[in-house]
Amino acid sequence: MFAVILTVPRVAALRPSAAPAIIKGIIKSKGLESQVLDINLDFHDQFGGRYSEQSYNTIDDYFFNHLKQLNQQDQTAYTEWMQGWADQIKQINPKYLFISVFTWQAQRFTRDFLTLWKTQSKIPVIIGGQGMTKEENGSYSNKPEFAHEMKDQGLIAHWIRGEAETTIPAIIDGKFDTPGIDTDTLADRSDVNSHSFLDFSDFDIKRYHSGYEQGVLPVETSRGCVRNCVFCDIPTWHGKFRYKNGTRLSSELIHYYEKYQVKDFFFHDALCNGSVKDFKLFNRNLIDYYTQNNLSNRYFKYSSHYIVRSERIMPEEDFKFMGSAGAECMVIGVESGSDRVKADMRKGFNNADLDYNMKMFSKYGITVYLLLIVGFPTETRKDFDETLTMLKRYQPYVADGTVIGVNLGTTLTIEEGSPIYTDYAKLNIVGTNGNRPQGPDWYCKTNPTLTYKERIMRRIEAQEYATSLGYTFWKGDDQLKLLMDNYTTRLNRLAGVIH
Amino acid sequence: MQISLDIGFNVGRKLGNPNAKILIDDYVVLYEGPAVDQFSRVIDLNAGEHELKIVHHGKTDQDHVLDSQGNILVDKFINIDTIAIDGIKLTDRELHTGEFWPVYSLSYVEDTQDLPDSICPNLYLGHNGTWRYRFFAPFTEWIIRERKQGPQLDNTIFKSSQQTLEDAKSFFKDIREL
Repeated sequence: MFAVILTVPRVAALRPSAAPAIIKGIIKSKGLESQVLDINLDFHDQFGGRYSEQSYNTIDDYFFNHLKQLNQQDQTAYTEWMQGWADQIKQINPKYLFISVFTWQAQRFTRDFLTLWKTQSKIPVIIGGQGMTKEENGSYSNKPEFAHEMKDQGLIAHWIRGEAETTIPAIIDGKFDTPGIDTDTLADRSDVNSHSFLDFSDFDIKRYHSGYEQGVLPVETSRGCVRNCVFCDIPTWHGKFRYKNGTRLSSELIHYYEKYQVKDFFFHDALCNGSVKDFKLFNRNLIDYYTQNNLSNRYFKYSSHYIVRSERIMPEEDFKFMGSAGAECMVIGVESGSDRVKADMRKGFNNADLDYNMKMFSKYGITVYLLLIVGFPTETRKDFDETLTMLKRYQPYVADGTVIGVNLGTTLTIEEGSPIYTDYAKLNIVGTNGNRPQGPDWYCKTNPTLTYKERIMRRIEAQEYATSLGYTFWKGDDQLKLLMDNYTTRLNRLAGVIH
Repeated sequence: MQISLDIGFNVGRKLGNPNAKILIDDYVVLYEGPAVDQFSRVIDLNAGEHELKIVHHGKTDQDHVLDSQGNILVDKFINIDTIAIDGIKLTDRELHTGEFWPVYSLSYVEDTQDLPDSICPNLYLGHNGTWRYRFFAPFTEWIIRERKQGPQLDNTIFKSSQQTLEDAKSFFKDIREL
């Protein structure tokens, strides 16, 4: 067995994670064996029943609240549970243990598990994933701090920074001096049209909490992004926009359907309609497949991140095809109800475009999940009020089931790799306490009343308002706890400075 | 507050135009006259519970044609096809919560036993009578609550509880600036 590949907490267990399936597919293409173990699913599914729901909730909080500590009883349960997994991996006895550190919320488990693992096994550990940075809302950093920390402590043998497609084959060949392996710089980028199909054969797809009978599979349509929004680090992390052509993508979905009988898919990349031409081709190919096989329209369903396009770029016919092909839920970074703020963000669309898209989604039975950012540096109270007005304007779309949720995030944070991180002076941003603007620690010289506290108060107000309008609100508890946690940390830090 | 009301009817006029009346509650008459195919109006309403009433009246025993078995061949009727309030179209399930309270003709009562006081679901106003649909203003908030659209997140890691929201409001209310 070449490798065991782990999915670790904390991530919602809605569907199999893509990274382990990508790695397994690559290893298989080299004629080697691997096994994926989903520890995250086990945590969400079994831990509460095996120990107690209270312990489950406490440890779940512990994974993302770095101020939280476990009491002895919870610690005992947690250690015993991790030991069970360590024993299972030792029994398989792979050449390598890979861990997919999906986000920063996976760091605590990874650190705890590897601390335990180090005392018991010499099987080398290789980690990778966007969670190797310390950024809360970002995926990129100039230095993967968490990976360095793990390496310095002797908990890992190697890390992978960037794409598996160019690094895993090198590891198989024993070439560890490859870009992206133990480097701060990123791995070489791959041709997305030459990627292997993902291998989900180790996953019990129906066990995930997708709400769909046959389960949901993650699929990539592209890497990178066609846009360059000032707050986003994706273009830095993934480079130039690379997309699968429409025929390649439709073939991939059909392959998963024919192999795993799954009909529902989630595109987990930044956008499905970066190449409008290929997106149209993809939709038409699916409709043709349904026709040729006597299947109904919308036989497959896909959900995805999506960028708002003008009526000129995506006329009504395109939405009609989307609906017939099976577009189910589009996740849209709307960010603000203010056209001025959207322009400052370089979003590339305005309210009129958004209104058009919303109307089309409603007409063709496509649901929408709205992502908003409160507290962009140039956001005035008037701009914020326009966001609230937009929520009111789209309330009928909540009533007709088009809008299935809204997510407000944790206010605007400045992340490494984003244009705003590099060009902060253009927006008159300065860091607090003489530091470089980063995370939430900044203010805008031309908008000085927009303090961190004011941003949080607006964020809370927006949640309260959206809830009163009947919006289904997502991740509010996590985000508010995180804001309280962050604020407390900063107050404590200030108190330390004063003393 | 203002709400908009749009109603689409299918009207059986082969035996002449049926008489219709559209009211909110017992006192706001929005329309009275020959039945129309489409009715649209913006109205002022107080917050709270209301009832939309659509009345078919003035139909006589001569306003339908029966075959020898008593089946209706031609009828004068009003059928409620669609209702949208504040631009939100009621689903079939919601339309079917409306209840029709017929006023049977004397001859029909004499010929038919065990007639119900009301019929639900029913959107075909063949008899004289009043169709009633209960709703609340503001409508949009109410219908969203009624429909319970979207995923139920209460016991998931995506949840957003009122308690945590209140905790956060209280935490940040008087906290010092950084």
